[in-house]
Amino acid sequence: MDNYDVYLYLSFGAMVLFLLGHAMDAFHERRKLLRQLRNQL
Amino acid sequence: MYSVKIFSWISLKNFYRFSGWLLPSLGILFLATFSLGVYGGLFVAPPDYQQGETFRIIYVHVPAAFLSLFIYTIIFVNSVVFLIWQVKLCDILASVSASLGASFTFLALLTGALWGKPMWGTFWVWDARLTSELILLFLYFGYMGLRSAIPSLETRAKISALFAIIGMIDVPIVHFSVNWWQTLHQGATLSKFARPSMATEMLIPLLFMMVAFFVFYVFMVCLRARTEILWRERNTQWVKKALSKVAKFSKQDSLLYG
Repeated sequence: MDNYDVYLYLSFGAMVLFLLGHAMDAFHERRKLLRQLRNQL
Repeated sequence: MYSVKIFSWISLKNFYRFSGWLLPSLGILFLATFSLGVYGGLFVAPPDYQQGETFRIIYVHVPAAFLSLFIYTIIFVNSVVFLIWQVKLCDILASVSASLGASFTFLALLTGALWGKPMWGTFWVWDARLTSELILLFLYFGYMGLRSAIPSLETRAKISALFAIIGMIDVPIVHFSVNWWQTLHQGATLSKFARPSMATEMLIPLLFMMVAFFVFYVFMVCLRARTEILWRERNTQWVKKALSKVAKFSKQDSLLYG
């Protein structure tokens, strides 16, 4: 079974990438919009 | 009378303020439950007597699969409420949930495939549970594609709500597929009506991970909905006032201001 540990690491790695990716994208979108709206003031 | 009160409470402005107040607590709760879940899942829970260390994929796979169904149900409920009462917030909540739901569905399929290889000897089989979950992913893609293809805000909201309602038929199929058909996929590990089929030291980290994923979803929905509300309400007085207040005090972007 030990040879299959790579699947465990891949699963946890994919999870971290997904969560981080979503969070970073949402914060980036928000910063972009705030900057744009503030420039229009 | 009551409905008028409820609708005024769920106005975009009120949601914006309420979610701004909620976000920091959600962030802390997510970090706490996620850390406990990952630590418990990787270091405290003992290896399975048959599957060894590979069983720990459950701590990613089950919460992701649970959320893939839960988020679609949330989209469905919001779509029904939007079509009946035309609550704008419901359309926003449904739209921002879609990309998260698609991601969790993809993650469930990916981790399922990675778990399937060592346990079943194959990454994929055209089994009822796997196939219906793949259809769910396509439903999410269809919903997102439909939304981005229609420029008019009102038409987009109505048509995508109808699409989400029709697509809901797949959710009970995914859930009950393991009971209705002979499948390679195992039955439910956690059930509302039965004792869990797992040892407590394996179960507790799983519950932490499920709470962490759920909190992450609520956090992200609040964050993305706030961005969408700012965009849609950019010409209103309250948004201009909030923006000028921030511009006055700080040159930097404030991410979580109320």
